[in-house]
Amino acid sequence: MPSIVTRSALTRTLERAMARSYARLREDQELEAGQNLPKSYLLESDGHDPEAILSSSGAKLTVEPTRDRTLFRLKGRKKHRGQQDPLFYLDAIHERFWTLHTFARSEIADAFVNDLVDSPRSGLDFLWLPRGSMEQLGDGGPLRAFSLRYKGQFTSQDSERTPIKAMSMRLWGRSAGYVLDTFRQDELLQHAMSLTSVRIRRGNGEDFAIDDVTHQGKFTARGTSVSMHYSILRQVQETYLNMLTAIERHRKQTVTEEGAMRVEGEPLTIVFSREIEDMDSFLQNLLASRKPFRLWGLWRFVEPNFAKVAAIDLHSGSEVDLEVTPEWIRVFLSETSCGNSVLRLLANFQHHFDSGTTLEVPDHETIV
Amino acid sequence: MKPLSEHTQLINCLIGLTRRVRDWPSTLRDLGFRLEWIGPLLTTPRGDKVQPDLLLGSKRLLYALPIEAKGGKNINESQLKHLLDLDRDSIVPRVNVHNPRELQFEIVYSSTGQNVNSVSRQVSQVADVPVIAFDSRRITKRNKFKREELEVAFKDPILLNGPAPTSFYPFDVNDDNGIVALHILRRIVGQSITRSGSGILQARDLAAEVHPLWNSMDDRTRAALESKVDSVLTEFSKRGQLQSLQRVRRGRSWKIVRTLQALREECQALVDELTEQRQITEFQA
Repeated sequence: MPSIVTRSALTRTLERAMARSYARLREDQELEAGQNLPKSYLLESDGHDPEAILSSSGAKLTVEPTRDRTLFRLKGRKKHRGQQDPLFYLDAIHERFWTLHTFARSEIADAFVNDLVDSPRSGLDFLWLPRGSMEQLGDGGPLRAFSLRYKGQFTSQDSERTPIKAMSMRLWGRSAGYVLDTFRQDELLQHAMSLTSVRIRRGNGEDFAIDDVTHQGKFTARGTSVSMHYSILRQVQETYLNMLTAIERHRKQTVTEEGAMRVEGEPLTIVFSREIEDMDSFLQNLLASRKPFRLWGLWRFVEPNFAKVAAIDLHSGSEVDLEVTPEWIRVFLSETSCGNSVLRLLANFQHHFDSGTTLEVPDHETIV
Repeated sequence: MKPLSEHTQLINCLIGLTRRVRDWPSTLRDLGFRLEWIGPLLTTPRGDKVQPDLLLGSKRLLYALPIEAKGGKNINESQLKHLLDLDRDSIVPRVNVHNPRELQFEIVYSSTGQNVNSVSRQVSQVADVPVIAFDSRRITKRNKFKREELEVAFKDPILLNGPAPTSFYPFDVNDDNGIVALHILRRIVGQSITRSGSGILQARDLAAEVHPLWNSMDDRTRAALESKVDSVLTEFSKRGQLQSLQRVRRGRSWKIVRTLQALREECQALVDELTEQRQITEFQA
């Protein structure tokens, strides 16, 4: 691949790769060796400086500037012999989000992005698109494919009350939307309807993009128009930013003056559509410092079914207070907390406990 | 037994009334009240200092409420008299309203349902001050509010749909060590994760960091809080967790997550043990 040193060169290269892959796939041919679908990853960077993050990050990579001040070349290190070093282009023009573009194979690219996000003090996080946002993405046009993945993490394996312990499914075709609607109506399936990806089409006539969008902000593109691919990226970015802003408006803030204190902010509420059966085991699981929740915390029961939790979001190191009942959780974000913590919590509840979980902002309006 | 002291519960209940909180009424917010200050130091025209627990203000009603949250059965009569001595000039500097010259106010007491009879009887011996009482099912009031909108809002019992918030105000010196430990242990672990702080644990520094009202506390209250934090740290070190913390500080990898999990279990065991210690002490008393 020619060395790309400007954003316009990157755009041209992305568009060529999209069109070439699309043409071959349309003819029902396999992609040639080394010919991969272009992928873009949206990451939440919380406004940190890219060079500072990348230089202090423990991820194994080299960073090269380009002629564009906000465009960087990132070269990862291959994990296995025979693999190529994955190459990424980091577009850091947005103050809150990074976009990483690559032509690397999916498993290599995914592993690199995972390492980058998980590296200590990266300050980076995936997008955590909740179920409502994923479904709205599909509303822009006919849904061409979707994936579901649900793995119950809060119910004991022998629980007879659990209708579905795990579910994984991918469906392609023009009836995808119909099948999804049918599943949504089903009483048994509705708690496990967690969309992990949707395939959407944007554009008209000859200028279009068909993207597979995952709930963690990965976009695999094909089609003829990179502008339409960018348009899908922008749409998701704007929707996500609006959610973050709505959440962060309610962060707890403390002001002290002349020995007195004022506390501002209000809790957000995560509302379940099914009850927590065993509060102790639920809290044990939630606060175990493990992926995907990445929360550390201690709790005290204030009432038999009401626990006060002092937690730390291990991703950002910030403190979060939770008040947990079997029906809902009040979330008090601290001054330094990022709204992404709440969306991560919500999306993971939807994928591991109850896909009907929603988030309410303090005026009792459900935002996702 | 409630793990939170009555005082901490009352402050959270009252702040909750000025916010939108799931399953908790927003009675005071609906009248335009917002929290101005927790623990403001006010000066009476005679020069006496008095510190109500809360000061609320409503721009819409041009009204302020200095509120005393009374944990326990007994009131401090001299404090009530000082509160009654307050005039508009005492309060105006601490309330954000458009027209301070028109500001009016009234003193309010608050109590738990269990103690409200005793508190309102003592208050009524001095003045006709309204008392808001919280129990697990409803909010009631004794005596009359001067301001009609408040009287109407609290006239009938307000039924509660869910538990009171507990996270606006963390704890005070009367809370049990288990509650204090939640906040202290979290801060220690947080510092280890972010590698902030000096790495040396001092009870006084931790108390000052964790309690938002530290700067306004008198020396006696500070000493009591410091001693509480110190006893948590003593228990903590007895169990060898300080060593675990040092280990956490050294690296950040998957191994650490396992250590954090182990540390979490040890910390949780300590919180549970401190709670039990209190229960035994109360039983013996």
